[in-house]
Amino acid sequence: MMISSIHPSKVSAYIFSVMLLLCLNHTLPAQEAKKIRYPERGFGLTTGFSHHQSQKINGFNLGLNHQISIGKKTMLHNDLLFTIQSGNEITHNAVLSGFSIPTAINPWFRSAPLKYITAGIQTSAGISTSMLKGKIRTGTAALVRYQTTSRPEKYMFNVDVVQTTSGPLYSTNYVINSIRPHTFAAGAMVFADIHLFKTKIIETKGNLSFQWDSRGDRIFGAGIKLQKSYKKTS
Amino acid sequence: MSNELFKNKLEEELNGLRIEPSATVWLKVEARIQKERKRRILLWWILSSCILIGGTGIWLNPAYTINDEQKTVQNDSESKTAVTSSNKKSPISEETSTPFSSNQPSKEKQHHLYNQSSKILPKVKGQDKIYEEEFDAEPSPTPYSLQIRAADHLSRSFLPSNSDIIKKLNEKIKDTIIVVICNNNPPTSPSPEKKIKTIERQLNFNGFLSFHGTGDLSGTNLEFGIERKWGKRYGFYNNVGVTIHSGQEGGFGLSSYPLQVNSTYKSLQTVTAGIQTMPTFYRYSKRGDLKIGAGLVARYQMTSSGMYAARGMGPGTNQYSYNIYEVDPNTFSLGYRISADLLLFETKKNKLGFQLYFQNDTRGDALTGLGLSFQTKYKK
Repeated sequence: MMISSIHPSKVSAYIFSVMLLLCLNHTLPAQEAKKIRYPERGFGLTTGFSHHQSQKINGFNLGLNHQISIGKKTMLHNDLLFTIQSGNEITHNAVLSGFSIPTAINPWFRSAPLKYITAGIQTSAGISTSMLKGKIRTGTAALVRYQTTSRPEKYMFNVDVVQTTSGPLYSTNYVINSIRPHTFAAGAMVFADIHLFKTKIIETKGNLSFQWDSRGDRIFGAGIKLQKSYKKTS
Repeated sequence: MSNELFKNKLEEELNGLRIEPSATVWLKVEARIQKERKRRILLWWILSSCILIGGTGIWLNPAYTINDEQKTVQNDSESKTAVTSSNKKSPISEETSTPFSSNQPSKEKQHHLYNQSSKILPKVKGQDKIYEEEFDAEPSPTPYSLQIRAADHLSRSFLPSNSDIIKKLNEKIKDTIIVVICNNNPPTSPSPEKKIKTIERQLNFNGFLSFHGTGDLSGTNLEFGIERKWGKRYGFYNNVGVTIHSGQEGGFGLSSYPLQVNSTYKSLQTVTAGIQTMPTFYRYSKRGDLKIGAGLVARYQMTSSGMYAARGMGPGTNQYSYNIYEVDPNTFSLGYRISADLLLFETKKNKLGFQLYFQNDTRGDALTGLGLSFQTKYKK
């Protein structure tokens, strides 16, 4: 069970520090190593569909990728990924499907399902290898993820019946028993990049990923990755 | 035109084209000369012997080509290994050449005078390999290649194509001494014109502590973008950012049923997440340590907030229930943003700054943030 009292600003500071260290880390050793060899590097932008399997909600992801070649087929990856998903509580509509909600009579009898948003920021570091003449690249990575959500873990959904002269009116409410709004978790992911096409500068890849973390969340992602290769010369 | 006239005209036309190496180069040359003076006497004899032997070999070898000679020169002595990759792209090195004629191979004689700046370049380990690779990639020059390259360079650089010199060079001249004095500066250093055209760019990574609305939701804003500088005082920045804000729903007021500390009944949580792009124009201060930006915002936002009511479920129960009347939909909105960035720390390539911003959009959302901006320069 992870601690649930992490403020987003702390996570922001952490992520920023990690990025800063990564940038500086790339600058210094690379200058020493460049005299010996010029490893191929790639910088990419990922975006696509994201499915939060634990909460059964859908959304999208947006990520930055950096990779460095360390062998003929092997690459190291550093990624920063944002995931945002939204969904509605499903009991509300299922229970009230047979009831009429006369919202026009009294606005206080309007009812809507609880909507929840889950947003996460994660950074991962991993290794990948290419196969099928470089058309597919598969890899694995360790990740650290901050997640904030408005979805309660335990809640009660109540339907109140109010008798009126025109008939019964139904009012709904939620009682929230427990929620973990902010969590920090460690996990692992597997991913595959599939070469689609390449222009003069940018290579376009299909991207599939699946991840687990210590909070118990499982997230599947599918999207495209635009990647530009470069060589660090200074 | 006689050979003498041609030579004079050529010298006249090219007289102003000699470009002096920079002051730092001359300083290095001077330092190097001081060091090498002592061993020069010894080297002189060795070099003289080598040149004599080499010259004899060249004289007797009819299949000798420019490419061979360049490789030989590069491998012979340390002072000539400095024909670096920068010279590869140069159409012509500073050269004095006697006529090239495939008909008279035995009379060919070449002498390459590489400029002093290239002589003093240090010999880096592995440079030989690089040099060889670069020269391997070059097509083998013909005996006329230098002449053709000279004509090509002159026609492209500063002489009209119908010039007498170009015509003369395009002919297969025999027994003509061609003196070509050209710019032998490394082509990798851009000319002033190119320097102006090369836009300074930088990758920016910004991280903010940000607030949504009047501060009831707080969170973070992370951005990544590219900034291009236009001149000294203006720049353009475009980025992609993600904002994540969260908070507990308020509105209880002075509730008669406050939640207990260990209550199993929790408050409703609100999360608002957005993805946005912000093309921003910057104006820099004279010293360049402060920049003020203004631009547009295009934002897609998802939020769990809406119209709701929190009701106490009865005296002494310490329970709240939430009636959800309606929820805000996911929306796309446009807006504006103003920002200020103060430079805190700068290295040769990287900058660290403190940044503030405020943005407002058509949905009515106001976001403020303060944080750090990390910038790293690059050239396209």
